[in-house]
Amino acid sequence: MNAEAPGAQNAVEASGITKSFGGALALDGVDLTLAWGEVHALLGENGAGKTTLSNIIAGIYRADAGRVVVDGVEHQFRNPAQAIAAGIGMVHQHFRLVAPMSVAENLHLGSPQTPRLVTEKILVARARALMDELGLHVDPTAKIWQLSVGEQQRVEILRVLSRGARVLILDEPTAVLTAQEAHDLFGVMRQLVAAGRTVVFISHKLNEVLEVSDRITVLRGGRHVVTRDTAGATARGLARLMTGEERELDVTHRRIDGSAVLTLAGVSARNSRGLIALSQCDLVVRGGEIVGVAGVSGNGQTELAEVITGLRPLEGGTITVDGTDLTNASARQIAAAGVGHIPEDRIGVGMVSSAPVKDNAVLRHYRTDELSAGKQLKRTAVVRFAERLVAAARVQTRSVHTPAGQMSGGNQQRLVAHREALVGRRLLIAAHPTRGLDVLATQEVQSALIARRDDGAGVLLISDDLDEVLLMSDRIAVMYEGRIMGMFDRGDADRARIGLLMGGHAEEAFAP
Amino acid sequence: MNTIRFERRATSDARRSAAFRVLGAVAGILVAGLVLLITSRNPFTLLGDAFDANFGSQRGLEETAIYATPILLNGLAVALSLRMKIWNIGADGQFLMGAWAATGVGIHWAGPDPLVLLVMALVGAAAGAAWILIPALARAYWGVNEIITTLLLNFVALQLVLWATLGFWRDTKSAVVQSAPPVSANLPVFPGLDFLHIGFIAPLVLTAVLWWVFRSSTWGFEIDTIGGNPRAAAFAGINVPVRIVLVMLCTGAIAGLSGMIHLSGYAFRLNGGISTNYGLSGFIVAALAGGSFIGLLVGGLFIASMLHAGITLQAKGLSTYIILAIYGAILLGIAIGEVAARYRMVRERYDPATEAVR
Amino acid sequence: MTQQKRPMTDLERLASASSQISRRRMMKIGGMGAAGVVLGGGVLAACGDDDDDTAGGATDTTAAATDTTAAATSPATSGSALDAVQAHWVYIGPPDDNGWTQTHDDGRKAAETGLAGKAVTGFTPNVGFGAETTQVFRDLAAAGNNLIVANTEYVDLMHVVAAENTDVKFLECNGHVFTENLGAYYMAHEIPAYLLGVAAGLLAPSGKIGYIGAFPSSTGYNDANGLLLGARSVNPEATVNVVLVSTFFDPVKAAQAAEALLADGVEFLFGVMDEPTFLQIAEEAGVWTGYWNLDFRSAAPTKYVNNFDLSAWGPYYTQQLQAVLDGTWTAGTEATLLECPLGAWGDEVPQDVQDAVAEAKTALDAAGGVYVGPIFDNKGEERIPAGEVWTSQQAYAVNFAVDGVTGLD
Repeated sequence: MNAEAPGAQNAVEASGITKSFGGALALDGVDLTLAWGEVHALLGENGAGKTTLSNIIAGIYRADAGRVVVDGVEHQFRNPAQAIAAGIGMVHQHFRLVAPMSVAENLHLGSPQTPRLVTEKILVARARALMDELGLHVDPTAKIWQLSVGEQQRVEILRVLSRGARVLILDEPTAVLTAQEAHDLFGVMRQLVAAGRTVVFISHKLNEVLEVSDRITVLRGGRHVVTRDTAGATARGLARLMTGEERELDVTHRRIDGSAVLTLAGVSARNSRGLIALSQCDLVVRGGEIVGVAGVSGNGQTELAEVITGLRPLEGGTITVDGTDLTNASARQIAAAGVGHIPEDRIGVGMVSSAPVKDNAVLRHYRTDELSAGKQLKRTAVVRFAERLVAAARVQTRSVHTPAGQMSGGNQQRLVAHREALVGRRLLIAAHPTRGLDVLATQEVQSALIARRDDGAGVLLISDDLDEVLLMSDRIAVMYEGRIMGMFDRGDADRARIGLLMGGHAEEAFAP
Repeated sequence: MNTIRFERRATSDARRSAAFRVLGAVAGILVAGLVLLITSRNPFTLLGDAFDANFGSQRGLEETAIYATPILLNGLAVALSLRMKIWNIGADGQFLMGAWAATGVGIHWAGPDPLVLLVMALVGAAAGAAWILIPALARAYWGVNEIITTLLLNFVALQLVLWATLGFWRDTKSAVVQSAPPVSANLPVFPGLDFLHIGFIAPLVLTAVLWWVFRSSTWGFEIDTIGGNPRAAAFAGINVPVRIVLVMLCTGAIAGLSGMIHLSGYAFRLNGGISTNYGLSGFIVAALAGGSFIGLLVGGLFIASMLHAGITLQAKGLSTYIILAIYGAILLGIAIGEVAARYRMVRERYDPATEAVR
Repeated sequence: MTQQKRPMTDLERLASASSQISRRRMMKIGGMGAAGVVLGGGVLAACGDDDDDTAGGATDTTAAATDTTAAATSPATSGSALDAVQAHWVYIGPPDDNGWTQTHDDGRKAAETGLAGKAVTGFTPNVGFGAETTQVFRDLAAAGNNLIVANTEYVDLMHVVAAENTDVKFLECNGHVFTENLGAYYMAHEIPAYLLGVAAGLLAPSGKIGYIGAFPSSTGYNDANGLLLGARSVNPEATVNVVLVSTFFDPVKAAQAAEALLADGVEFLFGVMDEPTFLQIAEEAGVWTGYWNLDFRSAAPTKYVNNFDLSAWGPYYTQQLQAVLDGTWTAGTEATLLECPLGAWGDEVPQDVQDAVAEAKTALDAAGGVYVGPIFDNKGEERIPAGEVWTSQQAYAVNFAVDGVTGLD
């Protein structure tokens, strides 16, 4: 151990970090210095090297060159366990939780602090104590698979903190959190740094970075661009540093009064836990409009998308698409009617990671005459279709035969989004379509939605990013506890009232 | 200080994987040779004997092909379900039920051979499928783990066969106490050959069919999609539970057919020992082949030749236990090779004084 | 081999237990996979003796194969003499199974010794009833053996190979098929069963006898019928209660059967098991008992009555090998049924019982057989009319249980 007292040094000093994957240089001599007691934002586009750098500091990858000094001591982490022993913990974008086990069990799984002899009761009590201490709450008895994405994220954070991490790396944590949850998380982050810990906040959401961080390091293309204090930084300036260019999204609202593409009448449904998740929802989406659904994640939006696309049975009510009753129709029938679906969990639901890109590209179209004759797949046509989609979606992959899971998350998202846009000739359900995407990719997806709208299709945009909903939507529905609390025309949309409705405060929202 | 580290490869390469498996088998043979040397036997003579047993005579080749037939068919059955990430551990039970049902036809009906054989095959396949019906429904609709259910039904099937052969189908004419009478129709031997029955065609044809299905059909595409991510399959509009049931019934039917073929082609009468764990052998082959049908063909022939050589070596006086140990070593070698192919060895120099250098 | 009785270790029990499924065990590798390394390795250490025996036999066999090549190519059936004979035994169990196979292996060794350098023998243990067993016989025929002996009835598995290799002689224990080069042998064991039945009838006041059988075969009928007829000769009320366990080796099943029979009140317990669990149970219960194929007094020191003496294999095998050597071997048209006396009496068996059994033997010889008419089966049908006496050859094919036997149809 270092003779000097802990805390006298910087928390982490990484210098000259270089890492390549199969010939592609991911990091090129990057330096990063983290002080104790700061929220340090790591900003950059997808592929800028943020995650790779964090993974090296957290002991998941080993650098080809460069050194990592933690609290004055040089380390060569061989695995994450060594990093966590040195006080560095990371919360990943993709969760590492055991789905069939409870929250309390997951928190204790593999922890050296877990008592040898435990009962469910003790585990739950310990979990509760930890949550109270950290101010992050999840039902400790719930099974992971029953939790929303946001709640699962919270469990991940809790788990790493419980292991005694003094440097906490959060890889795009807010990508899956609701605005309120993100706000709560920022509180926790401030609380942690106030106690002398260090938080690395990886993000490309400029507003959040500006809101919560003390210092910012911008990476671009595997190189270090700048490290500066947050004070005095502007969103526009940071965006330029990240992308090296500047573009504007064209959101011209040309309201086309099309006929109703989607009509929901009195729709009710249960969630995976068997509880009522949607009750008596009425909703109309017309051709040529974007209807935004605002709401805190977990208030029925996921189930709403699933009932419309045939993935979840209805308890009651009817669903009509282009005048055809598709209540409880199969997913295939609904897709055939021209309803596309960018699912909330694109990788978990919309993709087969182990299958090649081409199989994922044709996942929704392989039964068309273009791609198959009877039971026989036209293999060359499949490849051609996939190559066209990959080109149109600007997906970067070595070939269409590469497993889709080997592409970066952004590329996977683009592939799914563009594929679904092809399916959604009449209606495109987009659930959190820009979640986890960087500035450029967000603009691309938003442009794609607008293009679909301009082609005359209806778009149902489900998002917990109120800014996005307000920016994109022609009409806005607000969901709370499975109900549609209110509809606003674009002109009438008022951020404060929507916010109140999202919190369930209907009387106040509609008070004069 | 030099350290060697294993790093997972980003991509898996079928050819490298195959090469590593062969290397693993060779390593297993070397280890086995070492064991033999330690127990003061000449491994070269034994290896020569083993090789000679399989390839030294037409009989050896024919017998190896005979053993390969049920191993390959059961392996194909398991591999088919594995494409859907479903583990059919019950191929042995389905094999037994196929043989059992075919016996029921074969000992009670002495019609024209081709007709009897056809009915036996249909009944055998149906019995194999029936034997996996409940695990299939339980898995598809209630998420009951098929590993347990299919495994347990193996024991039930064996008891049923024992009950039949010791009881209501016992051969009372000859003094064979543990066996049903011979079936009335036998699969013909290939013209020009001495032992090998035409049932050997079945695994070859089925391999080709499955290879095509998974290469160029929407059916194979859908099964692979379910195997890769059932949620994505449902998202794509595939009726996942129905597919699971259908595919599992197919695997049961293949294993059942394999029982009928072994019965009518080689064993000729049902007894409790008719499946010398062909189902589990097939399972091992399928697991080692990692879902590749061509790999399965090669692996199945290899295991069959090991079994064949093992019997010859046993007749030459090598103990069953040593033969078991050799099999174990070779199979373990293959399994390790399969895993090793997914990693690469990285040697790095690490000097604490000058930090990490490339 | 001397009858050295020691309790089996768990490992040995495990090893012999699985030997019942014998050939399957071999193929089980498929299933056992990598576990074979562990299991095989573990068992290897415990069974070192076996291996050495086996390997020794094999080496000899190979050496002899070259010697006898010339002989083998000459037409053996025509009765030409040989300089040396090469013979191989195929065993259902392991050669140290405390039972059936052990008696045969003792016989094999006796024959090899008896022919003093002119016979080379080997054996393959644990050969089961899977179709692959045919390959074992083919391999052995191809290896230049002049005589192949099976110590159980492999039927078709052996017969097809005999038909393919007319220059090789085959002997099948308990076999029923006879061709030019395929013969059968067994023993007239209804006689010791009868004699043991006499002892049982005298020792058991209620006349209730228990028999743990394996399969409903002629062997099983002769055991049960012999016991009953012997016991009835001294106690007309005697009965034999049979429990079939479908195996010759399963300590658990045998124990269950023994407990059931004891609970039923039997006062003499007999079994055709290749392991002595039931002897120990009878000893603990204070019930007289006897063993089938070996002298196993050690397992029931105070309640042991007697056992069948199977030492006739040695002379028989010696004679068969000699006949092959001399070129006089013939398959015959019926099974050679060897004489099978009782063995040594247990320490606590009263002298008057021993004497009574000796008298019964004399009477039996005078009567000409165990099955003396009229005999009714246990369904009430007359099987042997009054005045008729069955020979051992007739008894060899018996397929009914006599009146008084229950649990066996």
